Formats: sequence, structure tokens, C-alpha cells
Amino acid sequence: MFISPTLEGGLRLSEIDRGLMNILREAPDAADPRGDSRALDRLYPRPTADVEEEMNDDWNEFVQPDLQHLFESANQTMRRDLDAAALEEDGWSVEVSAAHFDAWLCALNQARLVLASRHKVDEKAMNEELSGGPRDAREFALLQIHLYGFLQENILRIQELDSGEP
Amino acid sequence: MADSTVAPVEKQSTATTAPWNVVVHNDPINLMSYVCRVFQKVFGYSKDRAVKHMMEVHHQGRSIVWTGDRERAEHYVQILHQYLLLTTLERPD
Repeated sequence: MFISPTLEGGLRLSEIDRGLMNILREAPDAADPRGDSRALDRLYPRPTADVEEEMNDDWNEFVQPDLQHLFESANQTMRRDLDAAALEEDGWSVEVSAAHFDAWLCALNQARLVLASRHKVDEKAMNEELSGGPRDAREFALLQIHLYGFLQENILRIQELDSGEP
Repeated sequence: MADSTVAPVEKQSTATTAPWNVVVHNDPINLMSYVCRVFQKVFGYSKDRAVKHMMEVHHQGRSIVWTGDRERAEHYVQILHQYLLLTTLERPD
């Protein structure tokens, strides 16, 4: 896979092989917590560690629906961009416009966090080397977490360049 | 002359007037570059300051990224939750 900035300030992923394209296409579904309580707790954490039940209850009632809407909206944006992928001579290509960067960052982060919650990925697991193909669902999830993180890094790098920061 | 009455001065609760802390907690999944970027974007921090807070989170498990009135603190916690950072609001000591 090649990653390059576009003239319009976006990002172009190209020469993506079929296997990698399938992993990318799984990102929106991977971001869905689907009733998994650990994943839900991570996406919607309590705002206070203190015993302030009233604030936590208010948060659940008033803030969580807005967060859910934001997360679903970001996911839909990423899904639409992935659905618009083009099959070219040397593989698949995906274009991400600059206007969609924040949505992709959000959706990719959701996917990483939900996968990590489901598979109980901790700091030690994040530093494990993945050699050869994934042997089970957990190793596949780790592969996804690292791949989606790699895409996040590239988006962040372009955003930094565009902002003129050194 | 009409009687004048003086309304009692309400004592403001120290729970709302004392500064509240916005605390970001470590999560091994969030990228360090992402966390830095969020701090710069949300708080307008310089890159150096954002890195300082990010490294505190990474090494010490948490960092107090902002301190101020409760209403703004709650607002910042909500925004940081939008960026999927593990963030809590803490009472002042």
C-alpha cells in the first residue's frame, strides 16, 4: 500500500491488495461496540471517578447520546469513503479528503478501542511483535489495531504539515 | 417610607467556585501523536506543552491538563470524550 498526500490536501491510499482492502473495509464494523459492555464502557466512560452519581446519571442522559451520534456519523463517513474505493490496475485505491480527516481519526480510534476492549489488549500486547500471519482472532485484532493506528499517524502527519508546524 | 428589605446574600458552594481539575488518564491504545494533537487543538497548547502533558499521562498514568471553574471543566471533559480520551473531572483537594 502506498500513502500519499493529494494536491487538495487530502490523503490517497493506493496499490492496496485485496487482503488489506478487506481489513480496511472491516474498520467501520470493528468500531461498533455491539452491546459489548467493556467496549461500551471505554467509548462512554464515566466523567468522574468520585461518587457523584447525579453527574454520572446526567452525563448518561444528556452527553452520551451526543457522543453516540458523533461516533456513528464519523463511522458512516469512513464507510462511505471505503465504499467509494476504486479497483485500479495495481490494486485498490481510497481517497480521503481533508474535510473527512477528523471523521477518519475518530472512526479509526473507535475501531482500535473497541477491538482492544473486546480482546483485552493491554500495553504488553501492544508491544508484542506480530510475525507471520495472524493465528487467531486476537492476533487479527492486533493487526487491525496497528494498521488503523498507522493510518491515523499518516492523517495526523498531513494535518501537522498543513498547519505549518515544524 | 416603604420598608426596604435586603435579600440575603447566597453563599456560593465551594464545590462550584473552587477550581476543578480536568484529568486525562493513560490508555495504551491511543497514539501519543494523537493525544498531543488533541491537547493542541482543544486547549490551544503549544506543541511543547502538549508533549509534556502527554508524557505525564504516558509515564505517570494521568495528567491534570486544565484547571478552572466547574462549568468549563465539564465542557472540556465532554470535548475530550469526543476525542475518545479517558478523561475525568476531579474535585479540588
